[in-house]
Parts: sequence; structure tokens; C-alpha cells
Amino acid sequence: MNNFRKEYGQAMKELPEFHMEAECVQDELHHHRIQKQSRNRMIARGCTAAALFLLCGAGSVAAKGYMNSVIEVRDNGYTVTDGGSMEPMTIARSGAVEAETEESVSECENGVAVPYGVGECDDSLVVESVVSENEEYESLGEFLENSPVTVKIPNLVMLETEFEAAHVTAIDDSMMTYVMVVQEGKYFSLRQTDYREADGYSSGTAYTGKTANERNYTNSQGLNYIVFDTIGEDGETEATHAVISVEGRELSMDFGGFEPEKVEKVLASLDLTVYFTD
Amino acid sequence: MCRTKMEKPVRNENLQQKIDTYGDMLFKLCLIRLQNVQDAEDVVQDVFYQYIRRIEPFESEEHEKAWLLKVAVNGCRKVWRSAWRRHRSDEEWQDNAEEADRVTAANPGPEEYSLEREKQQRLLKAVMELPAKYREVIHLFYYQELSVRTIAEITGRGQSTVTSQLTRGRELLRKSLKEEYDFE
Repeated sequence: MNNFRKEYGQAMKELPEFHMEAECVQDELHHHRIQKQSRNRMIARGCTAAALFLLCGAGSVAAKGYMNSVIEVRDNGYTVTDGGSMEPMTIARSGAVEAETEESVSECENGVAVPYGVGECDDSLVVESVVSENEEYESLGEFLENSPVTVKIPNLVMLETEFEAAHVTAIDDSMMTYVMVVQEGKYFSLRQTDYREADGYSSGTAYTGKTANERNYTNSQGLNYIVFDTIGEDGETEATHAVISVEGRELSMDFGGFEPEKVEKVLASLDLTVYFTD
Repeated sequence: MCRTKMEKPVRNENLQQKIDTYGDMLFKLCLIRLQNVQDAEDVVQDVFYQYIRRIEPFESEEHEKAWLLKVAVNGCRKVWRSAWRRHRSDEEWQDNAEEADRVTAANPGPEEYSLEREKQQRLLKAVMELPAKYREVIHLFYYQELSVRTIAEITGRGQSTVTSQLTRGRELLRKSLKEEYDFE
């Protein structure tokens, strides 16, 4: 019988060897490149949720009367449905979304995508595309000073982190606003969607980890919000998420890399009265 | 790998000694974890970058080695956490494996050597295909020869978690490997 330890040690010798000069370690420019990559990954990760939201959510506004919304935490994300609308939509993992678009979807002559084996092409369907107008800001100060959109940004000072990069995107005036601040290994993102003009809606948001530890809180204005964690494949908490629906706006916040106590303090102090007067 | 020189490069013999001693160990751990040479090199460089900025002295060589491994594990975790990274590394590892196959086919050695090498590649592939959490503990236990307790300290997991991950990792390897292995 082969000895695994011995054979694995031999196999390791097949891997490339590592050599580096001490001077290279002090190569600040290279180090900063790694830091920048790390920041970009964080932003990309935060944007994934927004992109999936656009895929799953923005297209599903239904023509029904706006009522109180129902937030439901699912296996890998959450759904929000207004009380009078249809059943909460099913949300797909990011991989599943990609699989559907890349492998199992055929395209009809009129450009309408139809999953294989699900249905035939319907030539009466017409594809419509909407180009959104985006306003982008490189700092929270710039956004708060220049944007007409009402967004309540939590007191980030309570997170005791000096964020080094910020980015705000306001899509179609106030329809959707996305705020992202990043510090090495940590990030906070806020997505606000305005449903006041919609007669009804249903949306789904998926994360890359599994959801866990769902809990409900009531803030000082008596508003209920749902908090849950996402757990990565290594079994560790990747981020804490909070979802709240207030006066026709849906707020979704993601806290990555912060202690749960700090996140809960930030959420407890969130004053949303601004939405009642807007 | 050193892409840019500092204005005043300082040859640090002590640092070079540490790189020579621990660099390859850290690189292999990062490579097994990230499955990408460039990312593994970047993480190792970052580990030593943090090493030269550490002010507190180490209690012992074991302490120093454990600290380096811990920083490397955390560095890999940061990179691995990104879904984009997970997706990309799978593709790249596939590319690397295909490249390795091409190299092996182009340089046939004596039959025995070739068979032995094929076996090692199968073993390496089986380890690489394990989920990241099992791959990490299997590598630390069998290659670094660390105890469950030390692995638990380095990875920040409980000893019972590490033990069960080792058991599960071995089970998966037994299923995927053609040859029979003694895992003791």
C-alpha cells in the first residue's frame, strides 16, 4: 500500500519552486498593486449583488397596487414582494444564472432567449431594451452634496474604520442607488431601490455564500428589518446583510469583515425618518 | 517576479534567509489553496512584506513559522473569498493541468519514471479537486506535518473541526484515487 504522506511529498516536488530576492519584498509598487487588486475584488464582489438584482429584480415590476412588502430570506439571498403582488420569485445562485445564459438557452430569430426544452420560439415576442442613465460619484461627500437622491447612509464612524475608497452610482435618478466603501479586507455597501412609482413589485437578490443566522429587529422608528449572514464554503461568515423596506424604498446593506456587534450598533442607530418627509 | 526596484534597495540578509527557509513552504501552501502561480507569489510576497513590518519579536522559531503560515492562510482566504477568483482559478487550474499534461507527454522518460510521475500527478489532481477547506488541512497535515492543534491555531478553526475536515478529506481522496493509500 502506498504511503500518502510520502507520495504527496514527492508530488509536491513536481510543483514550481519559489525564489525571491529580499529587495522584491520591499517593492512598494508591487505591494500597492496587490492592495489595489484586493480593493477591486471587494468592489467586484459588492457589485455582483447589484448586478444580480438588476437581472432578477428590476425586470419584474408588476402592474399591481403597492402594498406592504414581505422580505423572505432564502438559501442564498432574499426576496422582497409587495403584499398584493405575485408569489416571491425564485432566486438563482450566481453560477446558475451564468449556466442558464451560457449553456441552456437558445435564441430565437427575434432575439428572445428560450431555455432548451422549455418552449418554442414565439415570433410575436418583441425584445425591448432600456438604457439607464447613471450618475457616478467618487466620494460620499461628493454624492451627498450634488445628488438630489435621498439616501440615508448609516453612521459609518461606528464601524471604526477609515475607508480608503468610495463609489456611488445613482441609476435613473432615484430608481436605484448603490453606495460602496472599501478598506482592506472590509467593505460596506448600500443599495436603495425606489418602488414608489411602481404599482407592484417582486425582486430577488443572490449572494455567493449560503445564508444563515436570520434575525429580525425593530429600530427606533418601529420599522422592522431583517438581518442575516452569508457563510462561505470554508464555513466562515463572509458578510452580514440587512434588508429594510420603508415608504416605498427598499434598502439593502452589506457589511463585510466587521464584528457583528458593530454592525448591530450601526443598524440600531439608523434613523430613517428622512424617508417619511421625502 | 521583482518588477520594480526601490530607489534605495536594501539587501537584508536576515530577510533573505527567511525567504530561503520559508518561501517555498509558503508558496506551495498558497499554490495548493489558490491554484494559481501568480496569486500564490503575490500572497507570499505580501506575507514577507508584513513580516518586515512586524515590530514584536517572535518567541521561538516555531512561533515565527506558525505566524508566517497564519498570515499566508489569511492572505489566501482574502483572495479566495472573491467569487470571481473562485471561478477564474478553476479555469486556470484546468489550463495549468492541460499544460502540465502537454509537457509530460513531450518529455517521455523511462517507463517507470513516467508511471511514477503519472501517479503523482493523479494524486496532486485529486488533492486539488478537494474543496478548499479540506485541501488546506490535508496539505498542512501531510506536507507541513503539523499537528491538528497547530493547524487549528493557524486556520482559526476548532480542533474538532480540523479533525473532521481531515477525515472528510481522506474519505474524498480514497474515493477519487485509483491506488490504495495508507493515510497514517
